[in-house]
Amino acid sequence: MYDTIIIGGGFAGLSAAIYTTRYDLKTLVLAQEMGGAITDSAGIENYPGYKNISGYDLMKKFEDQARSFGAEINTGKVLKLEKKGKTFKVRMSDQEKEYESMSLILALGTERRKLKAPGAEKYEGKGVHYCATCDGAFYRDKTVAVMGGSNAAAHSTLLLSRLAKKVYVIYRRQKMRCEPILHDRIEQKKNVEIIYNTNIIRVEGDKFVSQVELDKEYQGKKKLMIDGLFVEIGSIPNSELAKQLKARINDMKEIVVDKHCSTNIPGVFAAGDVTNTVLRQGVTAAAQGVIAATSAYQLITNRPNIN
Amino acid sequence: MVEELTQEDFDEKTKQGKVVLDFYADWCGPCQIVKPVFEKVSKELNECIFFRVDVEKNREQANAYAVRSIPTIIFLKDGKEVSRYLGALPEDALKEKIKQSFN
Repeated sequence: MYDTIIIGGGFAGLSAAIYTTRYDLKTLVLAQEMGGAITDSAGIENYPGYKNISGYDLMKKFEDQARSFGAEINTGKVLKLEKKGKTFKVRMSDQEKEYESMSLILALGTERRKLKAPGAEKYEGKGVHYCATCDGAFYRDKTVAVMGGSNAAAHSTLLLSRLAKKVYVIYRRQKMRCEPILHDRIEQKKNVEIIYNTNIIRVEGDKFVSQVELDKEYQGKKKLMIDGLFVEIGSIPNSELAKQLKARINDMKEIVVDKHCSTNIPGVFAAGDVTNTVLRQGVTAAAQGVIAATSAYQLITNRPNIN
Repeated sequence: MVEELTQEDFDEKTKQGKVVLDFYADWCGPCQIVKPVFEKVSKELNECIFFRVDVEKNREQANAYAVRSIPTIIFLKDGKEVSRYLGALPEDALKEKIKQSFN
């Protein structure tokens, strides 16, 4: 029996584990992918304390810290969550593994929103990509496009601008919504061109991607010749597991939590990008992980206020 | 122990048996996540041969297998590709993919 099982191994989950172990709660972390979505990122500049660090390296530090305080961390896919009286059962996709806990912290993160245009699925990995850090180097001296206008899109653009001959940014709005500092850097790049108020409606090619079709003309043409497309159009909360416990999920698929990171199910807490958070950043996810950990501790020890 | 393939020995070492190839690069975060999983599974499944392929050092093989996304895991039977998987995956999922590919 664990005091808490944390499902998710990213910013929220590992931060929660650091605190629950220090609260002397017997802690198990179950992660499908250690580090979570941030491991795609080559250079994080806005996590306090680090001017520039890769997502993988930062999460490795979180993991090492959690383990150092006694967190048990396993990888694998959680298949089923069940409330049994006052405890919770967690079953893995490997049917032989089942765990029981007094509380749960759901730090399930998000998954990347996939481009739904015709051809996007067919060419995934063959010119359509969702990780510039992983796949950008295949496009040295080639022409690529980045779809999106977020911080993630901006980071991908800047990384690709150092590798590719030409980078188009294709964004549906009239101004990128990334941090101004990133936008300024993009503006200074001679090989980057931003195409605003435009969407991609088709991906085409032969063995690999060779062009995309736009929903409006750009320089007199609706087809843009590119070798690769990097899609950064946001993410969807991974809240499916929470439904098994009948936790409240809103219309945007977020797990609804209060300021204590409590869900509507006693003993179930949630933290990070999967929740109805006001801001999806590593530092806010980490903070929620800590709040959830503290709430779990208070529940288990019946303390109303740790301070 | 998972062996690193080179351009020189790639064809010879992959031409027979059930081979599982992990195409990776050092700059890729998700590839670093796959590495210990691959290592662990390789010790448990003796009927398969596991190799890692650095796409920077083995560009010819990466092109030959049309690898443009990493991590990519490719399953070969007697030198012929039977399936592949794009992205990182945990231990139980990798074992399942191996089972599906070679049955």
